[in-house]
Amino acid sequence: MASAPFGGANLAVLSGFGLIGAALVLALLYWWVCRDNVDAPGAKR
Amino acid sequence: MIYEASPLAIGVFVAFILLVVGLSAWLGRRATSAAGYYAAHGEIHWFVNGIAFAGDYLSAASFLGICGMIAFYGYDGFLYSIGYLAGWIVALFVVAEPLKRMGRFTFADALDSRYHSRSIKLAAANSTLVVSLFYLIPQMVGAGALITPLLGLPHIAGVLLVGVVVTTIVVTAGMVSTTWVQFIKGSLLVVFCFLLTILILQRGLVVDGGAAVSPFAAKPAAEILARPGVEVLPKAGAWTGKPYTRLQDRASGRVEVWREETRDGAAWLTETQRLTVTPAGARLVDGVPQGKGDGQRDLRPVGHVAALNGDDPSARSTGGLGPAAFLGALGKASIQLWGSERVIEDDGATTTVYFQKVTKGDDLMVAGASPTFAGVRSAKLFDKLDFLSLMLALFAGTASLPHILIRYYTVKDESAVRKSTVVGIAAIGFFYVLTLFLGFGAMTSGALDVTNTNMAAPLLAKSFSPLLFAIISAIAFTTVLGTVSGLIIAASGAVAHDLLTNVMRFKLNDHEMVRAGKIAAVVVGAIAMVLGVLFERMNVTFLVGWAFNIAASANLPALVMALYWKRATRQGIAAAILVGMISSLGWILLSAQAFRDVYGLPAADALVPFSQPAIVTLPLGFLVLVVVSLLTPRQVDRAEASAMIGSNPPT
Repeated sequence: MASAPFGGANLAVLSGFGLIGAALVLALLYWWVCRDNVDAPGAKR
Repeated sequence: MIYEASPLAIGVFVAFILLVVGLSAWLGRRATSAAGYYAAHGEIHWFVNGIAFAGDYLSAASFLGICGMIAFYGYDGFLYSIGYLAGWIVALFVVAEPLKRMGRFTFADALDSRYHSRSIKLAAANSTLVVSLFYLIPQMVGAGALITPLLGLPHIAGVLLVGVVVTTIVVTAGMVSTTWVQFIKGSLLVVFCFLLTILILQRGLVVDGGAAVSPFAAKPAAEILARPGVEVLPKAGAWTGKPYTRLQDRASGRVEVWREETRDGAAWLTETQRLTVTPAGARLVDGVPQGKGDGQRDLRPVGHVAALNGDDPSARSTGGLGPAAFLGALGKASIQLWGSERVIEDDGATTTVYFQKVTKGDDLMVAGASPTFAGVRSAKLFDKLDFLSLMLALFAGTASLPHILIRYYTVKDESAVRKSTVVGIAAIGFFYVLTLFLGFGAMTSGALDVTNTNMAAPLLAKSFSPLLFAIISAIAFTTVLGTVSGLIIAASGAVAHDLLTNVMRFKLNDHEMVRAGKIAAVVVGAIAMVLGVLFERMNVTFLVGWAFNIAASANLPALVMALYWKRATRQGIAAAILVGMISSLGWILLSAQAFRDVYGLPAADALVPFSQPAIVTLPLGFLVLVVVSLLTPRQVDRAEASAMIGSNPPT
């Protein structure tokens, strides 16, 4: 994890940023996939 | 270190408090019904709710704790950032929309929507109160710790100030005002931390902190020992066997303590700082009374680059750097960190010796440098399990925190829930990326208080300007306000809505339910203030980790199975909550961390093999739920179950 494959930051830091970035990408993907979903009729409020 | 309150800091602080309370009172003036008090009528815009998620979630532990941990130990603090954010994916994909569909005011509503069981509501309300209290204590203690350097007031004043302000905010208009407080706090936190990061990158790395730091000495032992007028004291009493040389000035009688090191085979001595607390309570720094006046001395600020080790050996500064270049230069540099060792003197005084620890930057950019995450580098299985268990708790706990879950009821529909969670993830994720730069910036700022990791972020700001220090400190205080208000409203909902109305079956109309909620908020606020004072001297940062463990173990199995497993029974849900809560709490109280930090007993006497319980108690919660459900009669038909988990019928 100490090796720095590119850009100066090491693998540990890059993987940390990568995980945070992946969470955001997954969230945005979920938003996009569900964009046409409407609430089930009669759903509780 | 002794902090001096400045009129500027007090002015900015008061302005922030007035802004937050005034805006929240004005924006929350319409909440008079139970739906308004507990769920803001479900009318909060999804973007506002998303930023409020960030304001709710980014507690003092996130801001002050993570920055401090990175500043003192490097990458380890960033592991918390990663774990805290990863949990939001569980919240988005697994919990968010079904919870909105099935609940009304509290997460017990969603859990119980299929069963109408008093036992589930009782168990869920208890779990909410336990998790909220574990989470409240560090926030209140953090408020006290902030108020002392900022305003020069005692700890109790900070605790009372937060308690009174937050209770006022919550009682004024419940979830509406709480939402706006959290929105304001979340926005300010992210914007100003981004600004601070830009300033850090513009400054780059400077050897010895430039002119701001007076360097600490490190010389060959022969050179120090040859000084005229000093004599070496024998290594007697508490100093026997310790790696310190004590030199006494014959004229003044003052004693210096130097740490012994070997460098390239030669004996070296490095300058230390020491803080002594006498049995009578007097505080001495390097043997003289702590203070700023004549004949007094205070601990010096620490944390700077010892050497850049770059291509140009004579370079003293990197100048402005981009984010990747900053991390690259830090990896090459040698950083002067500080360790500490406690010595109990023969007269009963306690001396903490703070010593220099020059560390390669590369070592600070991988996990395992701090005591908390030392298990990563350990060969012992239990040490590794302890680390994995904490990560699991952070991952599973986020989606189970009651004060986060109730925010799903404040928007109008599931689509808004989805969008607000994504906005929350973006804001929180961006902030957590910044924590790495804030922490490393503080580590090299030359401004750290060697006795207090939590002050790293405000002191980093102080290294740029007093105004920025005042603003960041005030934001840190509003950070406490935002999180505490969320916790108090979650706890008041558990008492007034779950316990009084649903468990004890008090017949309350809408108006009475709001009043009960407000009274509960005042009581919970008062309890939080008392706990904040009682726990002042305890190391409470680990309480947040414990809250995540309890939330994950008690709430997640019940939530996931109630939402997605049609065979789950009310007995199974209630048993899972109680077993998860009691087992995780019991494990924590029997752990090495509790023995050492709470009871003051030897950690080796602990009765469980590692401190973080989630890796055992979370699966235990699922197991208990499944076994008890299978042993008790089915209570939900297929059609009802399909309505609960979405439009696709179960197969």
